[in-house]
Amino acid sequence: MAGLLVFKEKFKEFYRKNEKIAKPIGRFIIALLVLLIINMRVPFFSIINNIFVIVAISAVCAFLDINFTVLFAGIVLILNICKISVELAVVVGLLYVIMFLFYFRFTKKEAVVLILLPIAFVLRIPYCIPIIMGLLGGLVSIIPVSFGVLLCFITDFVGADAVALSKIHSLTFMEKFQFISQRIFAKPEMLITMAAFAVTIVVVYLVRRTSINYAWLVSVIVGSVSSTIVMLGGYFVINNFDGILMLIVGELISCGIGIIIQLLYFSVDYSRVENVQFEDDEYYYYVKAVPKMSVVAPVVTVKRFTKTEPVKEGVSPEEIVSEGISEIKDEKFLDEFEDEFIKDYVDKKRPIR
Amino acid sequence: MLNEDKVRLMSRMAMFETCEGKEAIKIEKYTKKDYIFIQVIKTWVLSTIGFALVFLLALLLCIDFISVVLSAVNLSVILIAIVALYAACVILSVMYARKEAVSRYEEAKRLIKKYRKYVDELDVMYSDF
Repeated sequence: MAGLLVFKEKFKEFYRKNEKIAKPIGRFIIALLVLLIINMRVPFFSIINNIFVIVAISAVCAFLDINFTVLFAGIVLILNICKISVELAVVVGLLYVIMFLFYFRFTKKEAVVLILLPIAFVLRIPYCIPIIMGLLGGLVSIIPVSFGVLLCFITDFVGADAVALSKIHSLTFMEKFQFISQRIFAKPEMLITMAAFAVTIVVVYLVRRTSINYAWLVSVIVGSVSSTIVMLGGYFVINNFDGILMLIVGELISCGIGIIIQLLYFSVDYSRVENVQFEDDEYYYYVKAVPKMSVVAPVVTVKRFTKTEPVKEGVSPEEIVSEGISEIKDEKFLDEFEDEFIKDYVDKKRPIR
Repeated sequence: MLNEDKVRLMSRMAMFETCEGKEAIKIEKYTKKDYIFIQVIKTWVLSTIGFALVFLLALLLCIDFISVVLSAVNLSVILIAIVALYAACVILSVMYARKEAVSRYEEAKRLIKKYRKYVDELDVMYSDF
């Protein structure tokens, strides 16, 4: 665990030094991944799905706020769906506008869930998203997560049933929307996934806010278990047992990711808990103070020692020192000395005399 | 000759004005009451538009269910239900927006107080000079 914390400090230092390059590269990679996933699932608009256009849009997103990536991903998705069914594109567009008007206006940061969920679904670890949102967000995170699940299932449906969707031109205006409503919004797998994710967020949020020791760790494990139970229960109800193995593997990996996130964001030392009580004019206070664990990334400094040699007669101290310094400039000698020093004084924690 | 302390202070002020203080400086121009009022009005208008869109979406996607309800229930009851839903939607949005506006205003006030200390410090430096 100390290694993870040291890695976190080193990463923070690296990011601080290279923020100007790292941020655009990170945004470019995320935008590229999301647009490639959309292209893979709904490749219907050939102009938009040209690799050069995708790279160009990702390059633009690299220099803008992450919410612009969400916006561009939404536009690309709607344009692709438009080629198959204008009615479904209208529905998806309306959903985006409604979500913005009621939710993302207040919590702009959580819009990033809409681009993380498709990536997580492709990697078969979507269960880590509600765990992370339960740890870092609040109960209202259920809304963007459910919306993200809805969009992912709509994308999957359009990709899988594009032929059926394209044939609805012969139906009347209202019949088209009924078709969309029955085939998409009544999908049992989608409702089960939404329910599982909502339960996970609630469980993780409530457990991590308790004052028990290792509350965050317990919340991740309990959240994963509850998500698995709800998903398995749902699959049992609809009598669909395909993908149970992938579900269990995905939940285990998501639990691991959740544990790493809680270690990075909430590293405290429960062995040094202090329980104090005091009062003022209005209240009695029962306070549990848990110290944070802070680790400084080790900076190895090499002390300069010269090799032991018989003292030459008639040589001044300055000449001996400069000789020693020129020896130390030998890289191989420095490396060997550094290894020895680390072995003796850092790993074995011997006191430096 | 360069006064390092002054340069340091002015750099801090410039960073504040471009980053965390940008939003705070905009908010500070309003009184608390006016700022909350503007946010509430904005939310009311946007919630009304959002409710209309949700209503439209529900109409398009659940037309079967709506036609069953229309045939079974009195139109005035349906209208009252719609108005009640609209009122609930607007009230919840406005309450949330008000809470957010109050916390944002308090945060802006705290940041501006910090910024004013820098301004006073700079003023002292100029008057010493």
